[in-house]
Amino acid sequence: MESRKEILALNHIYKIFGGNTALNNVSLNLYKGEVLSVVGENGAGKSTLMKIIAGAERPDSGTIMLEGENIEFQSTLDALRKGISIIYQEPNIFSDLSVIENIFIGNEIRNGASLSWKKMYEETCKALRAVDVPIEIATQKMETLTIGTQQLVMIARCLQRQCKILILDEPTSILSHGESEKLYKIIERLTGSGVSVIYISHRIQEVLRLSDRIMILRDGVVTASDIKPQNTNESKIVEAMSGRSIDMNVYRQRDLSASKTIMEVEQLSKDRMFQDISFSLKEGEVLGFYGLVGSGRSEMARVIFGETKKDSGTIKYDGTVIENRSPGEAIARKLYYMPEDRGVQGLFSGHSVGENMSVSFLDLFKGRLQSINRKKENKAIDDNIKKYKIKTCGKDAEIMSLSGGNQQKVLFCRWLIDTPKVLILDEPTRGIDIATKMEIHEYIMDLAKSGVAVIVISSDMSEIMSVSDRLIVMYRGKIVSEFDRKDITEQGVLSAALGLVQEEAMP
Amino acid sequence: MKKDGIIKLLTNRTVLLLLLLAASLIVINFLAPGFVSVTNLLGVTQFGAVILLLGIGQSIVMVSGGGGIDLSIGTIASLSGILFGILCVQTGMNPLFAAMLVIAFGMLLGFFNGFLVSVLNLPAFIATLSTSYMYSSLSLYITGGVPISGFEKSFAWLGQKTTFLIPNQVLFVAAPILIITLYAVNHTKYGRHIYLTGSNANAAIFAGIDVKKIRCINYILDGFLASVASIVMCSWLMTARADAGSGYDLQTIAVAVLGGIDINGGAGKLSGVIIAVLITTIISTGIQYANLNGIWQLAVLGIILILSVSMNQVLIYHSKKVSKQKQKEIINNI
Repeated sequence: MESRKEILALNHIYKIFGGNTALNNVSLNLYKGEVLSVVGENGAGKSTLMKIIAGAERPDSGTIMLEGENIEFQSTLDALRKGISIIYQEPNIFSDLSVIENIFIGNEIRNGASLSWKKMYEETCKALRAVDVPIEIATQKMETLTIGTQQLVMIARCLQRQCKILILDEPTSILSHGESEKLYKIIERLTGSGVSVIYISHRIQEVLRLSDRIMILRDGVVTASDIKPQNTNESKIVEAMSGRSIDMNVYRQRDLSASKTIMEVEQLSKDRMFQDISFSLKEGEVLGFYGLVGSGRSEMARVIFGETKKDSGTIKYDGTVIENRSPGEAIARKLYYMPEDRGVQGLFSGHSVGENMSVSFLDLFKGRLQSINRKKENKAIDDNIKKYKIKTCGKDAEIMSLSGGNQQKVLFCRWLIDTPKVLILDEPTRGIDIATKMEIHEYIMDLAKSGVAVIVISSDMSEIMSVSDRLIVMYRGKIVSEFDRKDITEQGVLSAALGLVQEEAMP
Repeated sequence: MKKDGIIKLLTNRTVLLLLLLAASLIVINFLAPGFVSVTNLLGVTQFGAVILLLGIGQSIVMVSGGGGIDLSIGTIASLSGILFGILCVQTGMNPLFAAMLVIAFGMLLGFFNGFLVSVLNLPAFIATLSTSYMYSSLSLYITGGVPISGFEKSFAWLGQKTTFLIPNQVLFVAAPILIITLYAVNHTKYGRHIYLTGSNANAAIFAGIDVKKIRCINYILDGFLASVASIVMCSWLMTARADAGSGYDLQTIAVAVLGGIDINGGAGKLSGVIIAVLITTIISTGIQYANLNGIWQLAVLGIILILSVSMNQVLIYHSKKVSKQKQKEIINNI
């Protein structure tokens, strides 16, 4: 074996967010001209690790050595100058600027006070040729290009800046087959010229084909660091990704055969988001939806809630076919949805805990002359704060003054002011501490016991496994598997979510 | 601890504005002795009625966020006033009946703005700038630039007479409308929804609020207030002019911002806007009363606006620092 030159080494990296350990004693070595793939489930710590390498986050402890020198990045710009570039899933581009401007942004070639367009054009052509993109696009606006080409332009930018390490974060998740093939070729060419590539992907076949070495992360811990693709196969990798102990005690299986079906979804489709989704839901049941980010789960929920329009399919609810044209209509039917993004879709910053909680059911507190009866409203809010143990200095406290977990509880309670018939929870515990997470799981169980039908959408394997009566796995907008609680195994679910199970496997 | 308390008190916009109001009264009374008297001040409120009505309309549109603004509020008032003049003077219609028609017309103009903004999703700034040009041209075309006068003498009762020393336009129009609006905004579901929509429209949708409807209603209300104001103006001047409302578009934005309305939506109280209207009205009439050159009115308004807004920024920055420390203490104690 030829002597390999180590270009990057991360030693014993720890990173803690709030109460969660995102990276736990992670070490990584990268050699010149190789492709190292980093594989792991949602939330295994891949993104955090990459952000640390790219200078977007700083580790809480541990060291980073670049070409044998101990370094500490101050910013992504700092890392960029030292030759480390990252390309995110959805490229960060300036869509209304030209390709040249995008390539040279922040790094313009000057000619005295003015910009030297001629030189930049020449350099751009050189870089574009290196990634096999026709040079004619150099003067076009970014937005006129396909996402695949945009990504290649971003790689060209890295090349122009003489990057030594290129990090690709799930680059093929939005590419067509042809575009992916092109990318593989370019990666091969890059490594041939001495660039090292860190490759993050959920597509196991792709990883096996492309990598020199594979590293596997699980819950922030490295479970395998030096796998050679020739010595492994898909199932071995899935095994290393899964295999954590999951607490199944929160919940025991109940017999739901006597329960009445509350909702039946048939052939629900929305262009490019999800296709032919069919499932049924019983009163008192917790139905889990697992899948990779972007597998269409949230989009499906938003259609059921009436927030976006479907293309086709029917929803039968409580015996009749319904059409939710707006969230208001869904709410009137006691069908509620807690969105996945707390800050963007959930909270009203600058407003009180109480106002955030009561917003959807102000009609319940109607007083004289269309007014809101504050007494009734406050009582409902106080009751919820007490019942769900929300840590706040009171209902008048500003919502952002609460911790993430308590903010999440407020959003959860928003839908419990009035008892739901169907409650859809989208990532109900994302980014919150373990204790609160457990609490929310208990509340979900209590709700189910009281007869509420709950849909839980989660990218958190342990969560989805511990709360679901039944589990549906989606992959690229389609249902690929359905598990009864007794048949759920982490490997089975994960294989399905990674697209390793064919659709025929469905019962 | 004591300093914190003072800062906290000052960050309360209402307190700050009341102090500003007191300060302007003192300065004006110094420049023009005798200005501050009950009779005089009550009389001065007549100059505030129109801007109050329009300012409230503007504020409500701004509070619901999404870049909400109405640059056509003045031209809606002008055009409504023209219609009122034509109905009363040229067709001899009963002013009360004409008023109802004009108000419906104003609401229609407002609805058109609301339609452009919330249904067609045009940026409010562009949409209302465009409609303001349209409404303004229409006013000029209809009148040929000639003011419509010849209202029945009795009609002056509304804009020029007083009851118990209080101008009728304030007592019978501005005050009742103000009370109803304050009630609607502060005590009803509609009011709560306006503020929440302004704070985070996306979250509002997920919470089941019909954001488009809310914003559209706000523009209709805005048109309603503008047309009411136009009738007051007609009675006050006893003429209907195509340019009666010009200048009010920006002036209403000024009082809304001075009153504490957040231009990004979601925050600011109408009570603050009311005090802001009082301040601007007192300053502009006070300057005239003191025989100073009226040219300075707007400059003074500009200076007050900058001072009050920047002072608020500084104070908010301080209070945030303080409250963060407090939060930490509280959280540690739990």
